[in-house]
Amino acid sequence: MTKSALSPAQLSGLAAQMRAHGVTELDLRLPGGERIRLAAAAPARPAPAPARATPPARPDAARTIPAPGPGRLMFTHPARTQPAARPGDRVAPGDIVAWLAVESLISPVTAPAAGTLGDAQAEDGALLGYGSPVFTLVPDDAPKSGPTGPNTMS
Amino acid sequence: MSVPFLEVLATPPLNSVQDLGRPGQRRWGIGPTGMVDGLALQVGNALLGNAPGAAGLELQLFPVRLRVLRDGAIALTGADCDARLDGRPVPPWWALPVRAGQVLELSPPGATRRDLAAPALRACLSVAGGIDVPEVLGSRATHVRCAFGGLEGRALRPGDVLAAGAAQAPAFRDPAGFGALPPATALPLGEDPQATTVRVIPASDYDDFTEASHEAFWSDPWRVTIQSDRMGMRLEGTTPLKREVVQEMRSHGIVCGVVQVPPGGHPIIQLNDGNTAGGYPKMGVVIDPDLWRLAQLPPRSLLRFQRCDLAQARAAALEQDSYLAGLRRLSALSLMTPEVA
Amino acid sequence: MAAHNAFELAAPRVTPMGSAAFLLESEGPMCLPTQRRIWAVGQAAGDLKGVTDTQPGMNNLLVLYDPLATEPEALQAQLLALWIATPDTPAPGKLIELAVRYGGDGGEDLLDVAQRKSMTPRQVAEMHSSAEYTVFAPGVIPGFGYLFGLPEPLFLPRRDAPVNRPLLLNVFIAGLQCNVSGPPVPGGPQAGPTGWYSLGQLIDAPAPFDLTRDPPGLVEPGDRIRFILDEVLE
Repeated sequence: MTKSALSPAQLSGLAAQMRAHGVTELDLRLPGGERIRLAAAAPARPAPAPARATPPARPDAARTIPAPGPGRLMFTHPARTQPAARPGDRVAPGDIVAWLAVESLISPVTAPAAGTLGDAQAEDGALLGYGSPVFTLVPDDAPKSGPTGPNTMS
Repeated sequence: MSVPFLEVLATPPLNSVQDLGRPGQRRWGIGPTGMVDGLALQVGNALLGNAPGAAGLELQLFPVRLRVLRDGAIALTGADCDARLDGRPVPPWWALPVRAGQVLELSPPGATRRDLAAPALRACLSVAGGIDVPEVLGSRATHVRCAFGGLEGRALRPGDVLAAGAAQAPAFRDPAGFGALPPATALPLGEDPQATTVRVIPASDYDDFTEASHEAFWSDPWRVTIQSDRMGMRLEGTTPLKREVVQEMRSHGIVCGVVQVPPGGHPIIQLNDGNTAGGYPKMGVVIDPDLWRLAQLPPRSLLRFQRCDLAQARAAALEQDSYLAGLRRLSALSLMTPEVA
Repeated sequence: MAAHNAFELAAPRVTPMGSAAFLLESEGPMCLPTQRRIWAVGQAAGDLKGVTDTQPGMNNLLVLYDPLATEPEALQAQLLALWIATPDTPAPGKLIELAVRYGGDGGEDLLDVAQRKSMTPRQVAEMHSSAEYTVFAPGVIPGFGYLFGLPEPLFLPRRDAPVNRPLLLNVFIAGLQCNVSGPPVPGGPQAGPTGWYSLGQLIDAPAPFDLTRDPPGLVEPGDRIRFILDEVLE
């Protein structure tokens, strides 16, 4: 693909707007003739299982916390030595569970709903694209089936 | 037009309004003052889209509690104070939107979190639009010793209300905010994980010191003593620094970062509130791009000096400048609300 | 006017004072002609690209610059060129008279100085107040400066170990320098360690630094000071 008229940051900005307004698909024609189609994982539905060797532990009840944009994944803030959150931690909506770095800028990865963190879905330091799963999350309102708590590492 | 933005609910003494300092007033014997960690202030201002030298709060004693009086945005940089906004953690080196009524709390660095990756002493709070106090002699920095600048020329007190300058409230893509890669990560220096390294250019009296002093200066770790404040840092080492040649010293202008050696042989590094002139022999001067590293050294931490020259110092200044330019560019994108056609 | 440059000075030593300043140090004795060159070079250097401030010292000049706005090596060369090319413009200094009470509070070292010099305290006071001093450089308190002109019989090396002295706008001497020190503001530190000798304190002196005044500083480099003997407390 040739270089897009939109920067990665602009693309992830659009993605954020889509999420904020519940838009799941966006078809853009740019002045240069370029056409961009953006599709978002619908936040109201369980995210599709990521194409990974290790699927989420309990896809029936869990959803994923996706990367809000592209960046290098950091579970631990560089000014600290302990991770922001660990599998098994209780989280509230908006809680920061990891970070994404693009050059010198850091964006938060936040929990979309209250629940319990499941396993990490990517390696620390991995380069993620928009929507890549970071953690699984068992929301508090998820149907309870099977064992209640996810595996904890802590 | 400025509006009341923050109310100080609790603060120990010695916290003050500072900017990048007061240049151009040396003919009156007025020194730089300003934020000791000037880089932290510039990072905070870059994240918020402020002018690089917009004034902020330098917080060096804790706990501090502030109430937000109006919707706006803040950035917390410098020392990691395990900040909480209405109880919710705010990461270090972070900018975020705030709402009227919210309360921000900062704890002494390392007191509530034991997992700080680097030494931490002074935090910087920036606000969108900058802290608005009158400019005195070209700066908003508090000159505590002369009782002018900042908020009525004094340190902050509980009950103080701070105004923010006019600013378009930045629109955050994510209400959780965003942050900067800390300078310690973006601009690493030194090999000793137990000590902070700073680069030093030898000064005009360097050759007067003995060879043993030269050797000790560059290879020994130096301990920061409790006698350290905004005026200067006193250091302690195993080898006192002595001069071979003792000449009558003539008073001359001195700068932040100058490493002076009084007769006892234990060096003192001058900081922002120090005198503008001095006459102690000087071993060298910590380069400007490394002054922020000194700003974060609490008593008892270790310091190492790395020899450097003018070209290397300029390269360091350019590297720091490019880090800040990158932050300004990326923050502008993070604050931009994209138009969805 | 331009022919005034009859006083030939050796090139100064120019060394970095860190990454954003140069210190120009003139060799040779401290004297008014050298100091005039320093003031003139300081003034001219202020117009060079990237220079942010200049500060005369005793026989030396500090030039601060922004290393991202100028090439340090080029600035170093420009400063040396200025040293050679700048005429010694006589500074239009004003004369300021300051009354002094010698001895007593703020004059703790008058007797000590007198004994070291085999003089009476009154003789020290009379000799000190007989001279006209020139403000050579901004000093240790805002608004005042380092003074040159101390009569040679009063030269005394700085103390080896600093002693604590009250700060009451006192008149200090050390080496061949004279200075006024004190709390810059009411409520400022009332005492401090010093290696200098305190001879007395100023009486009814205007505040050295006052932001409501224009200019805020009492003296500027080039100004002349006369100390008027008010009384001697023995």
